[in-house]
Amino acid sequence: MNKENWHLELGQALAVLKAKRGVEAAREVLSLSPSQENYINELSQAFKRLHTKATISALFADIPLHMCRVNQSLIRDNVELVLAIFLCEIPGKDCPRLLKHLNSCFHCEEEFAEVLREYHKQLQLLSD
Amino acid sequence: MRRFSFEELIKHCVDRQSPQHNAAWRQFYDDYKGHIYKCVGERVRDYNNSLANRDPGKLTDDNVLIVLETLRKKLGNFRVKEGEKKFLRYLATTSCNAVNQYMRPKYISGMVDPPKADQPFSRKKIGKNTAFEVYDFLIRTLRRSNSGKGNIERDIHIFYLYKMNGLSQTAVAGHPCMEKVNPRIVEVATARIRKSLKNNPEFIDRLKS
Ligand SMILES: [Zn+2]
Ligand SMILES: [Zn+2]
Repeated sequence: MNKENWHLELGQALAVLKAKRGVEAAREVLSLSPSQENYINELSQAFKRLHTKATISALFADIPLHMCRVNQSLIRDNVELVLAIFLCEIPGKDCPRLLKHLNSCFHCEEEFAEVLREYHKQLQLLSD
Repeated sequence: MRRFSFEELIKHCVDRQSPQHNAAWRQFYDDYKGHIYKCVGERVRDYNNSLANRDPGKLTDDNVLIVLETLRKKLGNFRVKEGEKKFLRYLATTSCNAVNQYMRPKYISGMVDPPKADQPFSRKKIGKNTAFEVYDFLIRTLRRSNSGKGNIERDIHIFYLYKMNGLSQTAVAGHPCMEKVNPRIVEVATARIRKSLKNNPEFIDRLKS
């Protein structure tokens, strides 16, 4: 994902998957483009693989506590982690490592905020 | 009047006992005010976009005075042997740091207690570098004064999303990775951060009681 508006597309895709009403139902409400539908389906597949691999806690444990290097971003580059963050229902999910990283890494903090903003907006549209 | 060479100039400026001390500072101001104004002006403009009601000329003057005060105290730290080219870079860094030190608390106070006549807050207009400076300072300050408090990282994150980035309370409450966050908890976390800043010497006079 190198596109300028990747956080919008990611936030929207996460909202569609979270709402669990399928891409067809979301198509009408959000007027999805064909490429965005493809992207959502890709993420959906990646999410299914994630569950079977049961690697979720390993993903969280691997979050660095310090700042990402220049041009790297946990939120943009680690799709599996982002899926786990937004979509996994884990009891006691409060994740100190993630919060610590975001607070320590301004770049990721800003990107996370943009994705969360869009995720929230699209989720509201889907639930109206 | 004879002009001082670069090395003489710095030497007489640093040496308060020198009979040339005041003359040296007059020349210092003549020689370097252009450079200082340029460095200060860029940073001030960045902050001032978020402090819309201030007169930018006056704000720049205020900051230049602060830079000169800082130089009066710290000029001795510069090694004259490094030469004038290095000195110009030293001036740029010193100016930038002094502006940040003066403006950051104003900016953060505006974020915590909007709106005040002289500090309406608008995050979107601040430049990326300045935003990073503010953020970095805020995190260091809050971590230092709250070390050992279990919820501090969570409170900081909530404060960033809600106050610094302007997400709505419900958007923050919909955070996928914080359990049991609701709009009331967003308010409570924000209030805790505010209280922690209020106890910080840099903010004591700035925040409403
Ligand atoms: Zn990062
Ligand atoms: Zn988590």
